[in-house]
Amino acid sequence: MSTTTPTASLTVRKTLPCRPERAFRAWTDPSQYEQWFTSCGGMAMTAEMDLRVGGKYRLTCKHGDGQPTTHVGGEFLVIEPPHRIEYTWIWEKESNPAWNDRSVVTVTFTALPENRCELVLTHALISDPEQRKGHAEGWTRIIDNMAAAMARP
Amino acid sequence: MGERKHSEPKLDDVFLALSHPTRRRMLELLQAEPRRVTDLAESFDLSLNVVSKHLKFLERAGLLERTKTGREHMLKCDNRAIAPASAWIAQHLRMWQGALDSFEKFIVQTNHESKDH
Repeated sequence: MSTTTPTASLTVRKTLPCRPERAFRAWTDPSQYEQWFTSCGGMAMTAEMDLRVGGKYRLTCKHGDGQPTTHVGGEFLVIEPPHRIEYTWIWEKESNPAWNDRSVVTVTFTALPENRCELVLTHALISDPEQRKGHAEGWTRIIDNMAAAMARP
Repeated sequence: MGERKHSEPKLDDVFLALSHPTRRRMLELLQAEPRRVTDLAESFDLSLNVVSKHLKFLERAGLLERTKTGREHMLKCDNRAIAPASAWIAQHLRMWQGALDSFEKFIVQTNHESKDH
């Protein structure tokens, strides 16, 4: 298991009208994943997954109008059905040259009453273990300040 | 991870630089106005050596500009360095918000189908 430290992360939550088991399956079964993961902006996407710790996955998004196909891929780090899945997320260089940094996606499904569950997704950039120091909290204010400074004429 | 080129700051360097409270405070002070290294150091209860180490992180990330006038080192915040970092956050956030919306729709739809059959 690689030891990594997040340097920045974002988190998105969603309450779903199903049990964790079903949400976990929809996230980890390629044929289901292909049906809902349409937000890569593509016309169609394909998902290949070798669902085991250390196994690889690759997502391919086909775009219309002669635009290049984009690829993202990585390796499964944690698979704990139906509650948790963790994998590296790396845009392939030609797909997204600015963002081929190593990052990790963690998705958890927590059961709620009445057959519902909460999905929490965290996407974090990670740094070298020897650089592990400090915490990520607080940097958003700096970014806001900078964005505001840049927006000023 | 492989070796990195120090000439070209990586996104990770920016976030790493921002990951320490002291360095964030330094940047905030320098965002307000450019300062001499010695003046900046006075705002912190730290040795000049430790201050220099923090500054190195910020410089490596491209967040600081240092100009030398005689013996004085002036520090200035370079806001351009943050653009790719804030874009990384913003665009991935948008991507996942969209993905989770369609994930929810998919679950609702297939819920409906499985109840019909």
